[in-house]
Amino acid sequence: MGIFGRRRAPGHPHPRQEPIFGGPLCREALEGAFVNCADFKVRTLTLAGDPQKEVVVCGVEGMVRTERANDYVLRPLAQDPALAALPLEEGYRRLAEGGIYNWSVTPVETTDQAVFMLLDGGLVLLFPALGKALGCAVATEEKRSVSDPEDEPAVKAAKDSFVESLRTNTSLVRRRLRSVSLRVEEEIVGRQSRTPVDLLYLDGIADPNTVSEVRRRLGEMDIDGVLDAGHLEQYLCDTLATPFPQFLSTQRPDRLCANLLAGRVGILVDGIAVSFVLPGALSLFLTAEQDRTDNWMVSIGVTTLRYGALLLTLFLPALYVAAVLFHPEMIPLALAESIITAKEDVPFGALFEAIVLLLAFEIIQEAGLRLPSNLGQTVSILGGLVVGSAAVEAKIISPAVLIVVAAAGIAGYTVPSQDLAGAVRLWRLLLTLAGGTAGLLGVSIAGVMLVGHLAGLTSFGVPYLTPFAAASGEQVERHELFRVPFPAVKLRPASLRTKNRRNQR
Amino acid sequence: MKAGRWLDALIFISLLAALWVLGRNAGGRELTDVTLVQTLGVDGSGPVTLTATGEAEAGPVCRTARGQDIVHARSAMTLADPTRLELTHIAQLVLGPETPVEETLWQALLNRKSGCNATIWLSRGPAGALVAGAEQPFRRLRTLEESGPVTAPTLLEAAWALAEEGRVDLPVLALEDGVLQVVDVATVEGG
Repeated sequence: MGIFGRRRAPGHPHPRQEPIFGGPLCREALEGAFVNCADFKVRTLTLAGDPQKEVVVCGVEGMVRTERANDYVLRPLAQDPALAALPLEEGYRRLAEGGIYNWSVTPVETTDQAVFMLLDGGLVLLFPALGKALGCAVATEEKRSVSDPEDEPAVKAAKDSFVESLRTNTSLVRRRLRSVSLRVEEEIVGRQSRTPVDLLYLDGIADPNTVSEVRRRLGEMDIDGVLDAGHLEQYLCDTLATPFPQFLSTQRPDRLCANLLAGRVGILVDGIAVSFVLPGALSLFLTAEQDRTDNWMVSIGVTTLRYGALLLTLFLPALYVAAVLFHPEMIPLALAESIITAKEDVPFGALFEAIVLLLAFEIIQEAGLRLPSNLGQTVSILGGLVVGSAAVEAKIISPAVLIVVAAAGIAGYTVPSQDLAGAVRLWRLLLTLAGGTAGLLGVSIAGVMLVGHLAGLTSFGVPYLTPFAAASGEQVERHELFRVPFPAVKLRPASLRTKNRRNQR
Repeated sequence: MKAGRWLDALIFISLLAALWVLGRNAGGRELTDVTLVQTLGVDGSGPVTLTATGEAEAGPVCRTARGQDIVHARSAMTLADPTRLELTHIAQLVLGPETPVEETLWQALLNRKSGCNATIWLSRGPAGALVAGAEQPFRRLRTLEESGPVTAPTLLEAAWALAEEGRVDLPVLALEDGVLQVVDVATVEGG
């Protein structure tokens, strides 16, 4: 579906060319594949100095760890005296079976294999006289070091977070779940990016149907590249017609592991420093890792507060606008007088004020997010305090609306998931419009629409409103909604349809 | 599109249409455009004459309406001025000498829109004239409530006292140089 201009001719075939690089595997084929690539390097060596035994070494500079390539691949090629005595065929076998001091040395048979080995940071050793090749995995391991989970801080919890390196991330999970049941399936996604995407689950616990469905959807992804979280989410989710997140994204390995133990499925993507947990449900987005480490009573209090704050951030501006415009009888006399006094010289209506302030709140937040942290804080202070109080003093907006919008905004920050917070902010705007259009009845209608929308969502077959609405009428475990002491949590959530529901004696 | 999707879309469109229709007919108004009636004078028993005073953005407002009882008189007053008058924030109820106190209190109490916290006063002359002639009656009565010589009971307290004790003491107001003053305390006995 397009906009502007002439209608385009329908149907643009997007066939996948296989093999991508045809023809025999040789130096010319690889040079042809990497034409105009300054970082593609080719070097011709002779085995142990014998000019009859030529080896062509190919690699992509920057992707290869130079020390390892020099010491464990090139040095044996040049200096192993046994290679000089052996015929070339025998020498090739010797190199493949241990002559190269690298843990991964595999025969490469096609040009495609060689190209992808090079793109993954490997070295390809071509034996022109034999028409054979070997591939050595010597990719560089340069990466950002494991650091604190800045977006999801917790007091009594682990301080490590996922990084951009997939293998580092899987190791962070493995170190916590030293179980042979932990499965790590890999799918290469993206025609151009060829991004490794790992599917993690505990065999014997996770629902096999969910696992196979995730596997199927990953396999069907045929796109150019997976470069950020949105690519994955929008191809794997059940529906795109919603602002609500359908996967939980977390940068905490301990949180991913807790969800794997509960029977959920995790996804890790190379180059993305967060993991994805699915199926998602509303209650999952309203929990934080801190809930698990806090005392269970404290956790219940905080969770209740969070649900209250969610309702507050959604409905407070809408209720204010509805009350002021349509139901002044709801407002106590003293408060009504105060609002009237504050609003006396303000030229704008309550609905306009509320909408403008909600949008201004979003703009300030967006500006703060896009700037470096120090500058972002300055913008927030300038926008929130200075401009806000100046606007009140100049009688452009009334203080009551400012307080209502600020209270709703701050309440929104208690939502642990930023994805959910974004959806809530969008619906808050719609609810406010409904409240300004038809008062409390409008808020009620918009509220019904919201609940109807949420009730219609599923994530891999799990109703989004779980555990508030049990799809099959089955009783919901208490701990799905509120923390209970861990010794009392005997079963995994029924909604996840785990193979093994009991999690402790 | 599946049948379920059509149904969802139909329900969604219906709700949006309902919202639009309601919005067109609801008639919302800014709080600054509303006159909050704070002091209500009640004269007579059948018909009842109500005199409402309040503060609007443009200045003090005074309206009068008649009806067979308080409820009907209130309706008449609202209908006569439907866009501006708000009778749900009455803080003071002033009853004239001809007004049957107990009956009026119950009528006001049973009307859910009245609220129970309005203070009850009696007037020496017609309540309407007293309220209409006074300077800033709401503020003056608020001052008397806070620091006056006698305490005015609320609607609920007065009705409760009449029902339980059979009597209630109510302050009597009179106009002195345009200012409301408490000149006496009258004991009203229940029927």
